[in-house]
Amino acid sequence: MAPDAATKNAQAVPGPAGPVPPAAPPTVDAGEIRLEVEGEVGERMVLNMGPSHPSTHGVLRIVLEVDGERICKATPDVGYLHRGMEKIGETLGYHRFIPYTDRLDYLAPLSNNCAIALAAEKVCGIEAPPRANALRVVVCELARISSHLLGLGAYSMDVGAMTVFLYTFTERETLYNFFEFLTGARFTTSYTRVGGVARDADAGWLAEVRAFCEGLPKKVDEWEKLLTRNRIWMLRNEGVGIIDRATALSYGLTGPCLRGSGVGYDVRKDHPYFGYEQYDFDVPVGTRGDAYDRYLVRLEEIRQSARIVIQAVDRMPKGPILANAPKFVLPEKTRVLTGMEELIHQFMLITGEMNPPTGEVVSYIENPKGSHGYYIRSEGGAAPWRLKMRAPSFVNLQVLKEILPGRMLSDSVAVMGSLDFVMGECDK
Amino acid sequence: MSSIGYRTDAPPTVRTAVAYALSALGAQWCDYSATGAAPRFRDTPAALLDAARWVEAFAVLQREHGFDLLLDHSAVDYPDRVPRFTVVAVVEDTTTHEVLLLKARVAEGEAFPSLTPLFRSADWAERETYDMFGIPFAGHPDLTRIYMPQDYDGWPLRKDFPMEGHLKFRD
Amino acid sequence: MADTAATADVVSATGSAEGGFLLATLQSMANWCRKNSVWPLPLGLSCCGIEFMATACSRYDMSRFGMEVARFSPRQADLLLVAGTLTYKMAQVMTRLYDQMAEPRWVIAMGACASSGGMFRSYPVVQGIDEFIPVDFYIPGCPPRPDAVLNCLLQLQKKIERDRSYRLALDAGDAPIAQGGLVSVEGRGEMAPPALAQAADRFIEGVRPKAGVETGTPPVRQR
Repeated sequence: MAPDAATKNAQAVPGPAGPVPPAAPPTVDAGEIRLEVEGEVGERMVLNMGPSHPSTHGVLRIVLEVDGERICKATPDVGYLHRGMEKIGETLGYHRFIPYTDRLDYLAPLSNNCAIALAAEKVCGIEAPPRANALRVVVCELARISSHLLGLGAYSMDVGAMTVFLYTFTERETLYNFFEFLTGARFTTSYTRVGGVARDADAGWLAEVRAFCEGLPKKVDEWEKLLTRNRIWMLRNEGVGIIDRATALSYGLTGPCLRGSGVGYDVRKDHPYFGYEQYDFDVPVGTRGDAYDRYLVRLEEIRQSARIVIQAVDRMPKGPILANAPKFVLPEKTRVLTGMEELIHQFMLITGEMNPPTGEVVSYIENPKGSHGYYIRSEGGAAPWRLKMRAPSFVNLQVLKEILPGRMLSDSVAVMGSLDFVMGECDK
Repeated sequence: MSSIGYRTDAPPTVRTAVAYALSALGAQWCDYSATGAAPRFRDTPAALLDAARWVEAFAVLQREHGFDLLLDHSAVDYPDRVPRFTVVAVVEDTTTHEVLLLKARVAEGEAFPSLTPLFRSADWAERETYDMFGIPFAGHPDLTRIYMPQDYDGWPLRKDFPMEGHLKFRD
Repeated sequence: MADTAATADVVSATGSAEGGFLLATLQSMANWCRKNSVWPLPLGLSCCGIEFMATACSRYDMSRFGMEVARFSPRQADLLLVAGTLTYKMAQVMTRLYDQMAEPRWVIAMGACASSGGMFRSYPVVQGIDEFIPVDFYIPGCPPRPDAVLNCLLQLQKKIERDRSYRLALDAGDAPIAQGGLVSVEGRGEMAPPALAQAADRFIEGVRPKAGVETGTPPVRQR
């Protein structure tokens, strides 16, 4: 969407009656965005990056004003994947919305499933049983590993290290095997239900997951050997895209982007959910806030996630996986097909005869991208009156217009990779 | 109309200084006891403010009480109520981990004050609320649509907007 | 005349008789080259894009078929693989990319969202990319497994093998729209994308695509 015509700059010229005040700053019609061009248009080029671009991690469009190699101004343009999720949530209801949440942060679908289940449970006033919570912890952390692996792979591929992409995707295939065994789908899992999880995990699956997580730190060390002390990687990422602490907080960043800038804010530690307070893990925090720090934070988070999974598998409590609240919780599928009461409950809940108490809840979890969750306003009824999804990628992306100017064009790719956003979540 | 009640004294989970500051600005605190939910499931303290005191309240919270992270910003549409919209914002204090939900009501077409001088994240958050509900934010540096195309007609998340959109398509 | 030529085009499989032996050999050589080095333009819009990346990676390995060279420039790509949900805001971009691609070009709608809007029956989502561009293959699934994507790519190779564009180049008006001609696809039955029955319905550079008609009665579908 290159500008159709670059308008000539109208300079203020002294007229016969004295200097004429300059006209409104000339604008370049770059398709959907009107830019104010400061200075001579002739020296700067308006470059359109995306929405179809290998390095924009989905459909992000950035309109860059460049002066040679230097970026002078960057305006991100989002919304190319806006699918109306919130309206769908408000129409379909808590239960039927769960498959849509897979498609939000599609690198870690299980994490999103857990977020909506937690929010819906808070609205209904029920709690998932301990085994369901422990299973949610396991899948959330596996999803975090999966998301960081892809983020790392795509980031390094964009910067130029193609090998890491292939290595991390191989590990992700192992994770996809686990997800498929547990939930039935490689990646759009729809695993949680309001009140628990859909399927129980058997001992064999848990043992394999544990073995995988035990072997993971060694693999992370292998990838670190490829990247962390690699001279080119360090040159491309150190000092690039520095977000200082105050800017990070003001822009509402969360997740590794915020932790890379030195703020140790992690929803798992600060507002524990699913029983995270009983697990022993560290939260890596960076110092300088550059792309390199964010990379290191994510790498360390993979190790910590493996640690959490091992603890969760070791402590996995026995018990039911769905809460005992027939007014809100979908009954088990086998019982629905054989039992009368369960059939009636299933029918009522799906067709909308659900009445959670009114009120508003705010419920966030630690997504791999940041603090993800919902503000739900309930007025009774099977569907929320207002479902607002907090997308960490949407909030994190704004900082691009602050940190890209002054950098070179090729740094934009490193910065975007280090921010690790997902457009499915950003655009809802 | 919902059954959320309002009262002038803050719930016990709110820090005294914060409760005092907000009550001085005319906040009415939400009382969920009549709604039938157990208190631990309605644990985010929520206060209803006057739209005119919106920016002042957030400024006081940010400057004096350390609420430095604007987590969320949105609106709720009640088409049968006057004023129609309730703008909602969630702030958090990253050091003490307190979360506050503040809301204010605004009528259709009326301008609402913008939080952009205080929080940079309010820029896109308010653009999103504007795009979805049509609430104009006064003082916003660049209030344009963010999700829908610039020339889109309609405010998608209003209750009178159909889910499938208002254009008829070929099938 | 155009109708019978179009139906003859559909009915006869390889048509080695047209154009003579030399042209047929040249055609089969060209087809062999083209099918073994299809360069996709992955329009990875959403989740299907991730499954496409998995198809390109080590386990499913698209490069066995010569397709790992993903070129994001439409001038260099042969195959527009639309993987994910298309919104009206993005549709302009997609049609622009399609128009910039040089022939021969193919389009695969990967996933339920690209084929028909998928689970998103909502205001900004295009209910199928064939509202805007002609599609050669639809891959069902949400997302389709990489195995399904590979299956489709193999079917695409078979379709390329059947290509007869050299013969058609002798008389270009005969060719269907997807191969650069202007033939109406009425005779093709249900596989024809009805939205593009007329050439004038295609996206024309500089003109916004018609997103819908404001009236209540939809136009009659051509069968």
